[in-house]
Amino acid sequence: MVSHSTINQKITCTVCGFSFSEGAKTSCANCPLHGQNCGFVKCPNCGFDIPVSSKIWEWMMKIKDKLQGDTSHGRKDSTH
Amino acid sequence: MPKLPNDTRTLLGVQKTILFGNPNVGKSVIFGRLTNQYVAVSNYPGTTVTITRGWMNQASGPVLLLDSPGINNLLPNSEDEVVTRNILLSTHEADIVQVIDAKNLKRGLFLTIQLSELGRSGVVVLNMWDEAQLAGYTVDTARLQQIFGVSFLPAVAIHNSGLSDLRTKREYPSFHYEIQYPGLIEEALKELAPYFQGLGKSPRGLGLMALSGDSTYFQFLHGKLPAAILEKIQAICKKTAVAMNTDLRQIIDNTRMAEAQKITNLVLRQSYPKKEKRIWSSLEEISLHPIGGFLLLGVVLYFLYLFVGIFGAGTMVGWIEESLFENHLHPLLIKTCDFLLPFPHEHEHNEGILTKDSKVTATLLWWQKIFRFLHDFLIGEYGLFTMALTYGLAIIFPVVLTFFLAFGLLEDLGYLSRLSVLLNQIFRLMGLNGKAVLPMILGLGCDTMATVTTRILDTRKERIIVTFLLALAVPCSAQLAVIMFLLEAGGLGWKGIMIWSGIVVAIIFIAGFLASLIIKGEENPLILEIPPFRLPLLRNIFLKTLARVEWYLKEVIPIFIIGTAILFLLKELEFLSVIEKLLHPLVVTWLGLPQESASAFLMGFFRRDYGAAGFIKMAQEGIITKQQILVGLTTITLFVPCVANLLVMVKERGWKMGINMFVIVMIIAFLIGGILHRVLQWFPIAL
Ligand SMILES: Nc1nc2c(ncn2[C@@H]2O[C@H](COP(=O)(O)OP(=O)(O)OP(=O)(O)O)[C@@H](O)[C@H]2O)c(=O)[nH]1
Ligand SMILES: [Mg+2]
Ligand SMILES: [Zn+2]
Repeated sequence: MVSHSTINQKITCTVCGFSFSEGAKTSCANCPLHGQNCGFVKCPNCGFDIPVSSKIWEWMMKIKDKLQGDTSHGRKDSTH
Repeated sequence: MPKLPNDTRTLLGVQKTILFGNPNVGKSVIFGRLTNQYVAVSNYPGTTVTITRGWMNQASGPVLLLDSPGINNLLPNSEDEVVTRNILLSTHEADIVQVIDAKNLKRGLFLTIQLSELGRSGVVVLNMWDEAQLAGYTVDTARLQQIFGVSFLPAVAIHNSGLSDLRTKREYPSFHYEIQYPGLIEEALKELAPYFQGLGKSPRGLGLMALSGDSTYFQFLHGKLPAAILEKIQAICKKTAVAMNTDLRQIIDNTRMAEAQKITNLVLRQSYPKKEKRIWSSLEEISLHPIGGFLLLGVVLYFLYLFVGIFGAGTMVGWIEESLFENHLHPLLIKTCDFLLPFPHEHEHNEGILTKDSKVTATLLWWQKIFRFLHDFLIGEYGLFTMALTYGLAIIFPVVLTFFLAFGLLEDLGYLSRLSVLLNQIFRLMGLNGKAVLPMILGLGCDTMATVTTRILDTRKERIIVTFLLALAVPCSAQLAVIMFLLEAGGLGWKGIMIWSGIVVAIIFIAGFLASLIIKGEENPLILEIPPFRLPLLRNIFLKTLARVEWYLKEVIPIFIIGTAILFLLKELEFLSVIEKLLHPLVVTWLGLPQESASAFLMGFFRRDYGAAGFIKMAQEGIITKQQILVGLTTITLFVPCVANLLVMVKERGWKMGINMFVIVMIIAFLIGGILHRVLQWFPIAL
């Protein structure tokens, strides 16, 4: 998830259609898995674990951003 | 690319473009395409409730793109619509990219008219062009362009087509289209115009908002106009309303809607709907039909079997396990270890390829003993590389990967919701609360996470029963994957799968039925909103699969490693044979399995898929029959899923209850396994 551009994004459950804000990770306290580090958000209505973020994805996007950042710099330099 | 400051005010002066349109028309997809950012896109209206911002690179430099919540009217009916209306009004210099669902042209043009009246500049995207074509629509875009003075671009956002103009265009023309309102309203607009001078590009549009009498608009105007002027405006509005003796808003809405209809009639043609569309919508009907739904489920499961069972477990495992691991990685690792940790021993060869099986060829000195220990720990029979990582990465991983891909596809297609509704119907017949069903279906993802879900249930009894059923009979994705693999690789094929799944489903039903006798489920139905079937976004499926793969790598692989290390130590301490002897009556006498299965059951205590993987080993060594595989597999399927699940059971239900459940589940597992063994003896099914 691109956190720097997303303010309090609402999530809609893909199973039951319930809409809620991502912030409330209410069920995480008792989960023996990776708690806050996990890439899922539990739907408060039906309990489906919605995958919302992925370290691998973020990492890939960072690389993409970097590459694109470089190309846009290049373009700017050439127009000046 | 510039960093986005949190405060919008610091962004004054930056060139802005707003994505605007009805709900669920693909704005967020377009936003993602233009900014290369992932935004929650979903097949439900109203997904974007707050504003998302991102940068888009254009030839003239970066442009700030805002993704706004979908609205149906700039005269707001809901809070979301107020939000978007306010954004639009407070950024009157920004360009608008209006996204219209080409199938719902009228609804979109209703908004385009309002943009015209506000004198905005921009462009219109006719999105979902693919679906419109399927439905047989053709739209005269040239005519629309003539009417509104801006470009209308047909696009299929999910395929990134038709969006290139948005990336290059810089100067957008203004929307120009004026409609005539009844005389009294036109008079009032003229009277109001001077007061709105300087507040926006078009006093006419703002005047109409005031005339509609919307209180949130007056709130918005508060601080922006002096109180005296506001009073005058309100007075004019009131006077007009009284004079016309009706609700002005309704007249304004109706006039606009009639106009939108008129334009639509002019530019939209529908030819005979194509066949594909009919198939799509009849699938929607079938999927919820009590009988058709199950037939469709059968078809879905069959394709799942082809993809996960045949392609994942067969082809991909073949590539990775046999070609990559056995033939290349293992020999390489073995050679490396033998070089680094030398001691007198010989590895067996299998068709010329080095294998992990080795024999010590001389008595070892003390340091050679340490080397042998490390050597076996890494690449021995219970080695970190040769067992834990090979099972985890070469056999199970390809299968779960294909499963996750298929699961994500079904999820985004809108099939999971339908499946829940369908299964809900049967469980309801059994008298179980609708809410209790879903965690069980969702246990297919991860039982541990699903056990936490039992909190949404209303009574303690329900929570206990669902926790119990999850622990007993619902296999999680990784477990389903190994079981599929074993049934396939062990040569049991679809017959084996039918018997195995028949038993598991029967147990869920019997247990559920017994449970419903104990609890009288009060009706507390689950509210589900069912989306239409829709082709999912590849990018979304990809992200979901990655998130699930991460779950697998973080939750499953470490347990494999720990389990293997414990088995290795047990073997080194010569404790494994003691355990095998202790379990002899249970494993050999009761279940009729070979002695070696004891270690598979030990592995099953860590994770049941790991236990099932133990049977893979025996199947490969050829020391187990198909019937035995079926018995062993069924027994292990009914084990408590994994140590994490045991932990969460204890955490959620308390020590006593958690341990009790664990013991009962194990007893049932062995009981059913033993019965199956006997049944298979009496009725040997030609597997
Ligand atoms: N067939 C088809 N589907 C599309 C197209 N564009 C978007 N979709 C799908 O339409 C659905 C809605 O897309 P979103 O981008 O979330 O819509 P939105 O306009 O942002 O919706 P809200 O934020 O709820 O107002 C998703 O399921 C998309 O995959 C398209 O061109 N063709
Ligand atoms: Mg959106
Ligand atoms: Zn949900």
